[in-house]
Amino acid sequence: MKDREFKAFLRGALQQEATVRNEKKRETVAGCREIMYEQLESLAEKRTGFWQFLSDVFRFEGLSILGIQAGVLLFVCVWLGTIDKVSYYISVFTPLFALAVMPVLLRSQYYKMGEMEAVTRASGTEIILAKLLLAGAANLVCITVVLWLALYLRQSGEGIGRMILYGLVPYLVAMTAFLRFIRLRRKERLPVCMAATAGSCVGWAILAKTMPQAYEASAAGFWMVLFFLFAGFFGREIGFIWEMKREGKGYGIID
Amino acid sequence: MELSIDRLTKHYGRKIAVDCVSTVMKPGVYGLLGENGAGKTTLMRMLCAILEATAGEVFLDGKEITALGADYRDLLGYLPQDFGYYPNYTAKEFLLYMAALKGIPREEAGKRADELLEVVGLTEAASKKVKTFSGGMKQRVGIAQALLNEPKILILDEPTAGLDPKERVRFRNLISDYAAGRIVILSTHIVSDIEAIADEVLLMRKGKLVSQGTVAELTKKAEGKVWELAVSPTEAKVWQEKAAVANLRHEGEQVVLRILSDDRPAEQAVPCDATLEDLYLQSFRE
Repeated sequence: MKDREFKAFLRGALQQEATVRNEKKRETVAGCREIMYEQLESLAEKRTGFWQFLSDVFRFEGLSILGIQAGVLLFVCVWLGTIDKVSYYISVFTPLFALAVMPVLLRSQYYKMGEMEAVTRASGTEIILAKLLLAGAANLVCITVVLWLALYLRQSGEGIGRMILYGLVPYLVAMTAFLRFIRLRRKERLPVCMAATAGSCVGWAILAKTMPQAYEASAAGFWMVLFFLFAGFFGREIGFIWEMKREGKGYGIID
Repeated sequence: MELSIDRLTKHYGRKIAVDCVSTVMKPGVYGLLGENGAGKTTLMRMLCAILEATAGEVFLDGKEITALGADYRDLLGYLPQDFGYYPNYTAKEFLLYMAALKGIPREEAGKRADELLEVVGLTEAASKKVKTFSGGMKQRVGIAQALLNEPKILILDEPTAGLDPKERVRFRNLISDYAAGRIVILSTHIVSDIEAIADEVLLMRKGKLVSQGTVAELTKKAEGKVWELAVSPTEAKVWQEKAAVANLRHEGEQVVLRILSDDRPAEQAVPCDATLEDLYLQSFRE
């Protein structure tokens, strides 16, 4: 009801006889209620944007994300110090950083918070995206530290490019598989995926031990192909999440 | 504001959880009644747009809710039936976390969290870890989080589960106050809760919406089908086997049975006023 109509309505009512007319009273109450509903709908509240949301996620989840990553980094650094051919074994350790991201992303599912979180403005999509951004940044720092340590231990910068590939390929394989299972809501396969990621470390170690030629300069092309292939797959998974966020749709697993 | 459900259906393989439900909801309190597995939770999850419907659509003021996305979720408050908490959070931290996910600015979130903790009677427990809370206290924190964004559509799945009678009354009053100009949908097995606050009741059975109306309209359907019969304790056992007995109480030497029957079950049986519980029991008799 327009303001003008309502005023005319009230004016009309005042000109009526003083006795309460139930019909008119009901109409007035209905009119007031309609105005109240209109006002409720028009009073859109201020909401935070993505970067503020990201900072909020960091405030609540940052400590656990960084804590797990720091723990893995310490473990990897100590282990690297005991190995001779460091560059061969970089690929053994980087999946561990991907593994450390997984409990963070599955936390809401484990604590049965997924349904409640999915109905919020952020939904599962923004929450996963924010956690991935934070954990991904922490991963990059950790992998850089590992590479620096490897260089320091080898006392040589030779083959740094290849070492980056040895580190990133297993990491991308693990993260792509994990995000794919979340996207396809294959809840039952996630523990298998986590176990497979842990197991892949052993696989990469066996490869380094039994096929050292895979880490020679001549195999760099093979690693490069793998890198571009899995970077593409990983980028596609991130693209799916971004698309869901843009469309305001839900993402992830809800029990 | 109008929430319109159009032939909403959900299949899980061959099982039909929600079967072609259609209704229109305007501001008011809607009570969903139905036995376990009637499809109440599935329907609520589809209304929250977290579960994809097999067929049918939900519209808010003529716009499809999944197309509205975050704008729709912004209007929603939801308390799931079965939910958990991050154990390391205090009640206040939990509300602040949920407020962050709902996009409420920090300064506003702090104020609202304090207000809501007071509303649900948890001010003194605000700095205690949620993991130390009783079931009723956890439920109250759940209700508080659902109200954080002052939702225009509030969906509560079994909100009174675990609440003691005093808390239930407090909750009922809170919802009645809150419902002005908003759509509140709640499901519960406690018929008296729905009777007390629902403007309209939706009765669900095997995924279908079998009845909808005000409490008065629905109880009218059970009128003339509720009888009271005073019998001896031995006869009472026989009656319990052969008729639908909604209630029994002892009065001196005799037992007064409340029987649901289309016809007068015995000469001495006297008709009595029907309640929503009678209709509920009658609807789910077999």
